Amino acid sequence: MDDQTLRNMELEMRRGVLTLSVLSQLHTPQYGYSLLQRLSDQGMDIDQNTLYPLLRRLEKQGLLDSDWSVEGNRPRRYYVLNDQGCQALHTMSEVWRDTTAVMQRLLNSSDSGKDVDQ
Amino acid sequence: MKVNWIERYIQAVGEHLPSNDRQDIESELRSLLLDTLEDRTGSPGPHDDDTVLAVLQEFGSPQETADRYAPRPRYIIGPPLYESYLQITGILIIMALIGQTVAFVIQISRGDLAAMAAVGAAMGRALSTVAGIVGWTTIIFGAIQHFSRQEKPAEGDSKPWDPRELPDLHGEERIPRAESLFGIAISVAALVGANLLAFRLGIYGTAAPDPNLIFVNSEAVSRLLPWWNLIWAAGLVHETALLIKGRWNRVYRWQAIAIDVASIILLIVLFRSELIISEQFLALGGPEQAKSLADAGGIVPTALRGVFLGAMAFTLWDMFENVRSLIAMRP
Repeated sequence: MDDQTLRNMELEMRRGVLTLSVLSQLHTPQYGYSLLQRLSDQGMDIDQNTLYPLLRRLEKQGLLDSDWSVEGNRPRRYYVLNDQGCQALHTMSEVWRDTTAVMQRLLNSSDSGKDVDQ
Repeated sequence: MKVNWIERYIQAVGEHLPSNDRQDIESELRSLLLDTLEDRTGSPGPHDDDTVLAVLQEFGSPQETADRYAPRPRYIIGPPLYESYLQITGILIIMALIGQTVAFVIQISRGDLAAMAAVGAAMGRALSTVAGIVGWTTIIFGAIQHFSRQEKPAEGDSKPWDPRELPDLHGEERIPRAESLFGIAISVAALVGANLLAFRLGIYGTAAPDPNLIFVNSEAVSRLLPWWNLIWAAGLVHETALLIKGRWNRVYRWQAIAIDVASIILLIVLFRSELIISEQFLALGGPEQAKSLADAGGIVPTALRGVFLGAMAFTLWDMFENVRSLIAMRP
């Protein structure tokens, strides 16, 4: 398997958790770049060009509210979870915990199977 | 002169975005770019060209950035054109149906057709008109979409995009959508009105199957109509292009000036002669004519001239505005 295929698999896996990562950080209003930094500081690097379209999509889906605010001379758009977004975050967090528990079991059994084979 | 690379980039991205979200996405992109630059340099600006170009390079080509906001699946008419397609198709259908309704009412009032037969024929015509308009607008917009789609380089031999190749700013003159839609509606109304209704304008008696009096000289109007049709069709194409692009540029200004000049020449021809008014109408006033018709014979040519004069003044003002904006545009 070449590096490119592995990189694509990793990207695909990370793409699946982007929405949940973003929702988890929006209990308080954030503008795009501050959110990017916040995620990056906690180890979740997102391409800046991916984040804004994702925020817009989540807003269109009714999970976020947004508002333009001028700071200095620069207008910035702040995004924050609304009630529906909080609900979605709660549900998705549950799904995530269940999924990680299942994955943990699967990976553990895979590791122990490997040990038996060896 | 310092080049505003950020605005060039935003403009280039905007050209690939659907018009209803364009302004909003552009503002957001501007904010993101400035935040990135501020974070990178530790200062709110101004920033040197190399830093700005490096950030733009990281963001990806304008097409790629636009695609992230408005992904392009397989389609005949994509997001940048879809809104315009719906609006123009809607306008054309409404205008055509209004024209057909008026023609239908005239036919009924003249007693040309039995009422039931006329209703059946009118519904058939309306259906076929709607199908025709939808078909043709889809073909035309599909063709525009096909030829305006930028070819993506094949994987492997793609060369990295270079922000230094971004085109100049057009001058940042945005066009309100309502203005373009109004222009489209006027062009369509003129085309439909002149071609379908002009020859029917007249005074109709209640009993007579033919009008007592037709206002226009059919022969003279037929001679001038192809020229007017050309101008209105050019206007329609021009307004459609403005609706799709959402911004003025030098080419569009020149187009508008050319259309204005042609319109003024034709309006002068109309103003200098009474040739489009029927002889029958001009000769009104004889003893056999009713007094009201005699009055109308005097009023209509004067009123028409007033309309032509008003149209000329408006077109001249529009042309002046276009020339002024063209001069003010950055070269």
